Amino acid sequence: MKHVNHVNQVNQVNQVNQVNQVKSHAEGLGPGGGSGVPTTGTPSVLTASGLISPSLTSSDIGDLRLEIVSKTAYLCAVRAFMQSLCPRLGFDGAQSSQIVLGVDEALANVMKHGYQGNEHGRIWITITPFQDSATHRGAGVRIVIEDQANQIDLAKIKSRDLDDVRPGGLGVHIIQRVMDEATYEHRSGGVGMCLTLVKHVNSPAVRGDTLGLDGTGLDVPGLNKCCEAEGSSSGGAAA
Amino acid sequence: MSEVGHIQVGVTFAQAASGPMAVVSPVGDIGTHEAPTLRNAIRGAYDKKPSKLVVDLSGVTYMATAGLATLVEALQLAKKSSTQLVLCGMQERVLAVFEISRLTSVFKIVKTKEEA
Repeated sequence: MKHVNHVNQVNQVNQVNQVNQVKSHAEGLGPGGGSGVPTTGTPSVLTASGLISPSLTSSDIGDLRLEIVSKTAYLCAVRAFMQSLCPRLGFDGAQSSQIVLGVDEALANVMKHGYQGNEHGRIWITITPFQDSATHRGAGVRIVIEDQANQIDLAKIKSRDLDDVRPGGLGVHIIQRVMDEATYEHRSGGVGMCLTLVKHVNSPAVRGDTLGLDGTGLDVPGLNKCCEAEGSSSGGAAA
Repeated sequence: MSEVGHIQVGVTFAQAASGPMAVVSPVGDIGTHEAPTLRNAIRGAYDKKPSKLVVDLSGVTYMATAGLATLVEALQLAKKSSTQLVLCGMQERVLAVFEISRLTSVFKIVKTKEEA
């Protein structure tokens, strides 16, 4: 009985999503909409348009949509949400952590570079689990992050030279490393960016995946091969 | 009630055999929002002119690139002030971020605070 209730709730949510999508198109606001001034009014912390239950499979869950204002203080809420969701979609601990990191970095970039610190901007995150029968990579998740911020030259969105050790500029590199796909696009209407992130359950291991959950992973190359700070100028990467 | 997205950062000072030592111990997630709190704590510790600054990351459960940037900045400060910077106690999730960013060879990283 409990399972049926959850399914019914999700079905209701899906209906609401469809209505919201139509409304967004009509008003030119929100995901799928084109131009438009960022929504004003009382900022919502986080609204989830989906309900999740441990008893649901990914195909039951369907789409989930989060809306967040561009306040960095709320990134922790999205991280917690993604950390809770990803294992239920079949991702292991390391993969779930990578998805959390990728989404967190993407949102931080929107807030910093897109909205340039304006905390009234809106960001939409649409999460869609999928089954990929065409490849051996199996099930996965597609995460679309949309905003109404200034559009950034797509050619300028790239990982920087990691040998240049300096603070900042690592977000794009991290996103590209931890996700299988990261595609940046301009939203229609001349305003806003759209970033599509894809991660498969059977995706190749990312360096760092070898770290075990039992702490044995601490014996990895690099950790025990410590360099003194004074001798570090020619190695490593930037943050 | 604490504000969302805040971390606690403890800072202690001690006299080690090698000279004055400062230990900065953040607890919680170090994301974009929290990184400035860590940055202020590290800068405050540098103001005391320790010969060694240890950042104990054993209480850090998550680190974004903003946290990495803060630590790279701390490394640059260490070079300028002839302070030895040591990171310790990284949980594997945090260490993974350093690895992906190829930063493990840039810092002096040890497992425990005692080793630092």
